[in-house]
Amino acid sequence: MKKAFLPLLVVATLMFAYAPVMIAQAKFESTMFLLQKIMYFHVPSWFAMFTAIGISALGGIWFIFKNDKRGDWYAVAAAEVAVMFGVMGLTTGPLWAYKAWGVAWQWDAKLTIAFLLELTFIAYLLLRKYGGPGSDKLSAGVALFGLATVPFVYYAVNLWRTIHPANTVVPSLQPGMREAFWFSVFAFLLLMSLLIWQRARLERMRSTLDELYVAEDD
Amino acid sequence: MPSFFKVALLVLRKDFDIEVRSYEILSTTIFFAVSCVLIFSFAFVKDGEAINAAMVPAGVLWIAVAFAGLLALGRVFERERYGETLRALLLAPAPRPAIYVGKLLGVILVLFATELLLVPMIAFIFHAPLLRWALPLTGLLVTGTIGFAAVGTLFAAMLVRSRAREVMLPILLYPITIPVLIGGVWGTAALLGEEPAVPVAMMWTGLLASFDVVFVTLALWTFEPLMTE
Amino acid sequence: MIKRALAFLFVTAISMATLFAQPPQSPARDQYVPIDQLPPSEQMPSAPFVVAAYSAVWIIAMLYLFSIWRRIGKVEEDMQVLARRQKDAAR
Repeated sequence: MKKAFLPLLVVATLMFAYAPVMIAQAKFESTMFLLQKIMYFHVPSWFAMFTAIGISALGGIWFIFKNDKRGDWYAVAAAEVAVMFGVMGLTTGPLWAYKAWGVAWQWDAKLTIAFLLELTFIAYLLLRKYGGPGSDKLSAGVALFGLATVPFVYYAVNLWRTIHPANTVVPSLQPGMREAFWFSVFAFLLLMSLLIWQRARLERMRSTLDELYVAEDD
Repeated sequence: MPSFFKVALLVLRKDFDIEVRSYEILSTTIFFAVSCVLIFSFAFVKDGEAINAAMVPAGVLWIAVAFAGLLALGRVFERERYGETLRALLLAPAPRPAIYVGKLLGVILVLFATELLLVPMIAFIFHAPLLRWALPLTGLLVTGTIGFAAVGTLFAAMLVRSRAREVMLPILLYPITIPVLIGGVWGTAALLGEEPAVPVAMMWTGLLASFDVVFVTLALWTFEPLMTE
Repeated sequence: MIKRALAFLFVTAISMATLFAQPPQSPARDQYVPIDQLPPSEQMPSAPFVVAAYSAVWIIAMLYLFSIWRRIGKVEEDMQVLARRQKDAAR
């Protein structure tokens, strides 16, 4: 199982290296031309973040209901990775917005809730770092509430008037853009999995180290 | 006898050296400050427009509820923690979620009492016709308060034994409940504007009610395993 | 001598070929027309934003991967210290 990591990392790196080629060959969009190509990194970042949040919440549930420490490893790993992808999304978005809308940020429904989601998981990490004993269980609750917010981020465009492009853009992508997009999504999800895997491994090692310290004291 | 300022500087130096190892106070304080700025901005700014007159009393009302609520939630398990009766409470042969609901109702009642005082006070100070719209406003306040209190009671319960408890509660609570506050503010503002729009307020009330259902359900589901201390 | 002549001919032939191999050019512009303002689509070129966005993604991912690597290294170091201590204690 561990041996799969390096080949997968190579695959992910190659995919990321090849992605610009696919993206450069993708058709231009009729109103935003080159700028729209930020989409191939922006949208997959958020997909990866939502997926990581789902994994974190599931890990937390597994931990608190089954009392299995491994669930907690994946919960905290996925939460950290989710924050990282959130930073990517919150960086690429304003870069796109500054040229496309004239302003880098706006407090419309979708952007606001997305930002709050990022804050929720930063709070998760703060809790893990400074909360002391018992914060592993409480953070599972936080992740669950964060997961409950995700549908609102996604469907905000349907509920409120917002400046952000609608959800129908992705399913209706034309053949010229579709391949590059889903290729990028797959590359990002692969990267997310590898990062969560390694981060969870760090948690496992820390847990082993703690057990060793306890054994030493006995 | 070392000089006054020398001692002061030594104390500062000691705290600084400890803080630099973990940046605990700095990071939590900064995060809390950012949450505060966000709450104020959502209460007063909508879609990039400048502050408009209807938003101000609405914003003030809900911000007061948010901060008063934080104080109430900080104290909800205080007596159990001080008297160390939390274990007794948990050992009682009662379904755990019932403890949660009992505490939740207590917090809600405290907040309702506070709001009963807040609304006339804000209506008076800001010359806002809040009392004219008492019925839709009540709907907003009820659904919003329940949502805020539901999440807060769960987190307060979980944080009972945690260190840095007082700063962790707002840090965890505000990002999740800001949507509730926004809904409350914009619903209230819809009632106070140039053309009061009761249907808009009803829409926000409905949204807050759906938040309530989700939050209370999640809290009831997770209270039991989270409270096995 | 012949070699030098051949070399000279070769170079000349190549130069002529390159001269005549130019693609057909549009008639040379005889006037540059100044404008006061760029058309809106050219005022803020997109390329820097796209490049910045892609670089940001790469940099953030690399930084995070590096931070994981460093933390794992620290834990492994602690484990080695512990193992050494236990070996000394067992002796």
